[in-house]
Amino acid sequence: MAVEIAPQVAPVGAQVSNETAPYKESFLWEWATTVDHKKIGILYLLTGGLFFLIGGLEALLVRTQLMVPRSDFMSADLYNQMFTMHATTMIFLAVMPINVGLGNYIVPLMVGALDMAYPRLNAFSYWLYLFGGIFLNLSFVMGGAPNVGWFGYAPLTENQYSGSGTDFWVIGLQILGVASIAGALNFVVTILKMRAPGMTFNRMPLFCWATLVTAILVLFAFPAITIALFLVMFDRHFGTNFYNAAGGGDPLLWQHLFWFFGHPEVYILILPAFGIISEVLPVFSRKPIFGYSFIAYSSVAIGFLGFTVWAHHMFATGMGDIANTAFATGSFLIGVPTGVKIFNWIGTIWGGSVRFNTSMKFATGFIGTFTVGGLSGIMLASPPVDFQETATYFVVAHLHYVLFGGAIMGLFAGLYYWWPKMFGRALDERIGNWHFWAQLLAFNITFFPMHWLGMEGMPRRIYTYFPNEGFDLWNPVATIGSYFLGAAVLIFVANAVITAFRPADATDNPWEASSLEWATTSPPPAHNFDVEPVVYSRYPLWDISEEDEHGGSHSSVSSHGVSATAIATVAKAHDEHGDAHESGGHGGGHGIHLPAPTIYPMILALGVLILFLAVLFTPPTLKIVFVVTAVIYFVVSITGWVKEVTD
Amino acid sequence: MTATHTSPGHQSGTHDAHDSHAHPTTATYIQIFVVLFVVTAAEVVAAQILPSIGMTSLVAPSLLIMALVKGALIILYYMHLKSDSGVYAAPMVFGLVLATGMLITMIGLWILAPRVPCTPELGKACVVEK
Amino acid sequence: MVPPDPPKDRTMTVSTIEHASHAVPANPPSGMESLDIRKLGMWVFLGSDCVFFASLITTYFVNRPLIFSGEPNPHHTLGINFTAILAFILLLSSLTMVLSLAAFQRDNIQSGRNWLLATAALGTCFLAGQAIEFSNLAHEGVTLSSGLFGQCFLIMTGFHGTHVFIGVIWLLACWLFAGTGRFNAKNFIGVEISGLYWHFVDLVWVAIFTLIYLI
Repeated sequence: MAVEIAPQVAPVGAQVSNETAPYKESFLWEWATTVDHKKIGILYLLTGGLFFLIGGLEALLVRTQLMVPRSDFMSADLYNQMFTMHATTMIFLAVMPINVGLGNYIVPLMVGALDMAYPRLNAFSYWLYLFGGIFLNLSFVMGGAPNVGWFGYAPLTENQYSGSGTDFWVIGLQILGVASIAGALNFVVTILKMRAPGMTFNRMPLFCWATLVTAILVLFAFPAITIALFLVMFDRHFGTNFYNAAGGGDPLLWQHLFWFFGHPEVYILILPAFGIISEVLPVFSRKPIFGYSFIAYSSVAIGFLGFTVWAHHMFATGMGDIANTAFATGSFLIGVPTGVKIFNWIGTIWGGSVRFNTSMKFATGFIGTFTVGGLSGIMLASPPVDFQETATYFVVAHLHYVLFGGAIMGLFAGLYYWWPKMFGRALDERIGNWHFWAQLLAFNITFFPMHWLGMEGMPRRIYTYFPNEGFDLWNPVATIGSYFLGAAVLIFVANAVITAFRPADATDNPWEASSLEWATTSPPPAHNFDVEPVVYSRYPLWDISEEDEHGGSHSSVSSHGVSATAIATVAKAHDEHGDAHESGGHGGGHGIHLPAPTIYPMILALGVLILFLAVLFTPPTLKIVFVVTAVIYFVVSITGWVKEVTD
Repeated sequence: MTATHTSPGHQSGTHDAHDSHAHPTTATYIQIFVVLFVVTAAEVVAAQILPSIGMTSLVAPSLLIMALVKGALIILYYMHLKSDSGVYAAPMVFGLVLATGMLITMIGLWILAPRVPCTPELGKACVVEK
Repeated sequence: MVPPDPPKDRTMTVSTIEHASHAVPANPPSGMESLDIRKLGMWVFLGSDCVFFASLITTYFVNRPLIFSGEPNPHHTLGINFTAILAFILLLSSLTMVLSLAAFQRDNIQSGRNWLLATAALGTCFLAGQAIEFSNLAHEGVTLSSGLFGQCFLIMTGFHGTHVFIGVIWLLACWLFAGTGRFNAKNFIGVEISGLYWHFVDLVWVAIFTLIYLI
């Protein structure tokens, strides 16, 4: 039974098997069949970016409705759909995929590999994500979007309380879950198995540590929500009563199963950003990360502890003092490894020769805003405080400080940092400056007042409020802030668009960074590295520059004087082979055999989408026809996939 | 952190780390099966006999131990974890730890805050029957 | 471009000067060379499947007090002796599975194929037995919609049965592929991986049988 393996990079001088001459493919076909982690990474980033804008639009609509008391801008049901979809979109369709996109592009490069461990599965994950996201959003025009909150508390999700939107939500999340799990498997095996020679765990970049822990969290957290969602489906359509109290069920079971997933999920959202910050700060402080081991092991600690604290989302559900105390203790404890990281990051900047460009601004800003979010989180970890603040805007403030002020800020830091590597040209610094300050200001104006709104008692998830309850000042302030926040994000979009017309003349290592992705061209050739890198330290490219200072022996020196290409520890082909832009998925003239592009991942994913649409929206007799057709379709697609692998 | 096994010069996908340790023989496999068979039979007997001789409280612990024995045998011998690299064991161990942790915690939570059936006699407002 | 200052913490960088004078060493270990990608992937998947089944078993167990306080009483309804036979069947199938792998490792393709078929056949017997059990339960009024016991029990064993079903298909695919000579003493990883999955399915049944049927 064959499964695809990405071939290891060819050792020096080897002429590996049958390379085919590059051929011209249509642009669409090239992207539809790609199994190249770099292209797939860009697909994730683009799609995730688009959904980020959609989720942002949903947020602006929510804020518009809340601008004044007793607003009738939206009906209650439409409002419920908006805030549900805003959260679901941001979490599952924006932040997670952008994390995965950056990880997909950068991690194989960082570990010196040719591609991810399972390139076709990688493609399948992307397409399944795209179609899952489309499926979820189709609900808007097919009976109404989910309106049960992104957390879908039972018994609201039972079919006497919510309509077809909930079915879209359940199935959509299952589809996205499969995509995530497949992607996570890919990351774990890639990082464990495909690191360059000499790259022990102790020398691996912290972004890879973060991605590894995140992937492990995905793998072990998603099964819980998979079951939880199946139980919802059974309750709705097969007559069970898992969550329906009248039938003997227990709504709290949903909450436990959901939050068993949900708490690791928030670490899934933030850990990659932690990894990005750990990469960006050293480069622009021109010194190594302070406390590498602490940051690495604290990531592992956060990952493990993250499974033990889920019921702090449920302090007010009557679990009793013993349970509350136990989970509160864990929740306080989990602040420690995160705090360790914060101090290490500050220690990295301290005494460094700081270059305060846009990426660095976002990274530094992250430390500030994420810490605020962390502090409000610690406050919420105390059950007495939580009894007051749960389900109020205090929690909304907390979560946005850690997710926007944390994850999103971190992602922007990463985007500005890796943009030249991915696209061959850097984002504009002046526009980036405007973007950063506008976003920082607007973000705080939007979300800081929500702490006060929550403390004044404004509940969450309400479509309007009464006047003269103490909410009348800060709501419009937050709404105006949100409009500016939207504008700030658009500045970034403008930056991306404007710089797209600039020449792609980025050098290999414009930031003088130390990790392997900077040891190849910007963007890299299809096969990433001409020769397999060998690593002897945590900072392979810094060793080289240091060596050049001391006049150590190495191969060619580029016209820039010292360049990351001229190294003994990272062997690279000579500059004559500098042209990096191969077409298609083939290794060009380097004799490296890459996994061939294939359409099967995409059509398999498409089949999933069509199957679920058919099952939901056809009369019972037709359903059978569709299911049978789908089974045949899947068998054909999987057979085709497997055949391609084995041929 | 390096792996405990660094078998030299292996192509990935072909002969794995079986070279390192005692490879179980057919006889071993059959012996394991016999043990599994016997323990399962013992489980069935214990579940049915123990309560009838008044040792009901022994049922759960003895059954759990027997199940653990069976599970360990399958994992170690049939799934070759005893002779394979420890890295393969790590995900399974983590999964089992989480699984056991979830089960025990949830049972504990339900003991601390028992759920009572929703019946009108208790005076609770119930949701409408489907 | 000016090179950055040398890293301040010099203990962290190994001096590259001495390495520069040597040829690139042949594959210094990054730690995981000897591991097989596909086998590792399967173990990781199985680890996550533990949480999957734990969620189902947990659902049953948190409902257990209510289940046992009402009707029907699982101990009376479940045919323990019948399901014990199913447990034996599955255990036997694990034996045949591992014998199949051993055969392939000895380059005995024919024997390997036969044991594969035997495993699939035993798995099918298990499924048939489950179907019989479900149908008996239905006759006694235990269905998905009949109450807490029905829903918790049936969904748990149903998901397990689905895993078994997928396993049987997979084994048959292996048997087919083996007929084309794909597996031999040098290349048996496909059989090994399907074996891992199959043993895991058996493991889950060990847990379910003990926890649900007996305790």
